[in-house]
Amino acid sequence: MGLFERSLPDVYLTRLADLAVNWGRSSSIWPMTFGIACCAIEMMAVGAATFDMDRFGAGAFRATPRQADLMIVAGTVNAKMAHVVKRLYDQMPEPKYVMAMGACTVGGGPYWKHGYNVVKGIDRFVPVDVHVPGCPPRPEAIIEGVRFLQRKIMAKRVLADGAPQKPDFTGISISPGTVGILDPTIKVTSTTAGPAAASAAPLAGAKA
Amino acid sequence: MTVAEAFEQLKKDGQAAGVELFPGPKDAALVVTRERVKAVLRHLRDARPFACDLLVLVTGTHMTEKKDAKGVLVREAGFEVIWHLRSVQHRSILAVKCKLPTADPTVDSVADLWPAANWHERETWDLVGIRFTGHPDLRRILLPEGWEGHPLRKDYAYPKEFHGINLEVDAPWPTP
Repeated sequence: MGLFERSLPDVYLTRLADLAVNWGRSSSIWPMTFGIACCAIEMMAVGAATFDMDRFGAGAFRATPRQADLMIVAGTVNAKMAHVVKRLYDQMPEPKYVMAMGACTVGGGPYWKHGYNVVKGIDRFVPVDVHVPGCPPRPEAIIEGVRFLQRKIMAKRVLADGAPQKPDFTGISISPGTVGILDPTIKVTSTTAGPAAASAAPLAGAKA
Repeated sequence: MTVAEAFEQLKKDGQAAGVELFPGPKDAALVVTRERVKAVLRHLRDARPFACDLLVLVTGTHMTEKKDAKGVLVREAGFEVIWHLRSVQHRSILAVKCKLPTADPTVDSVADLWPAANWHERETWDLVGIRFTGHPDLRRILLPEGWEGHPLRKDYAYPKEFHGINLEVDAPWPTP
């Protein structure tokens, strides 16, 4: 919000404006068309019809960093590639978000110990908003990551000059296996396998 | 043509100086001295009985010294360069090896015989650190410019950082 960024008093009106701005931002996260390795195949699956990330407003993959809000780093980043990823991040306009997708970008993955040229986690050169573990993650996990990101954006202060709010992550997880990674207070209600239990399981767990 | 037959043919052609036959069960190869290797490879390409017109790969290995239980030296330390040649005409494959000392891993380039050797030799230089004399443009091909060391060597030390990015295994988790 440029000039007024977190400079107005924290009153009802500015909070309402924040809500409107955050709602707009979180409902139109445009990712960058940008895949490095095998994780990109799953990212493409998320964009396609079966999983359809556009339901969450995050399906418009932009071919330039200038138009993108979200950088999904999908694949192993090595020392030679890291500078390119950093440059793409720098070219994105604010506000910008980064999703570290897959084990390699989260912490090196299978190349953690003996990958002499692999950067052990992209946290080492760009700030990461959401980590999505998996090798590669299921498309549901990426959608879950986007929903986590949406809650994070909803908690941001845009105009109001107040203390940062704590994001509310309850009830967004759609894959029971990954519930509680970010918030340990979220309790899994049902983890029993089988089609009957899976269909009967509620959409994520309720807050304990 | 098997490797043993190729060795006999080389003897007939008078090109067997500095060539030994390594009769492995599966990995038979011609082991050639460093001085003779380019001449032998040229002969294998040009002579009609061989006609190895296709260079499949150039690669290198680094080996440490190996002793058996009694302390007898089984394998000397050093480098080895391997060429795999294929003859489309004769439908045969041939492996040529050259042993190099640890102190000076240098061998003649064959990039002028087979253009395919150009990138293969660059890769071998990049990862194993074998220098090919006479190569038109011996630069790294996979790792970035300014990288230190050759990763597939046994004594390779893993980098701590590269251009400001920490590459250590147990680096502290970055604080936001």
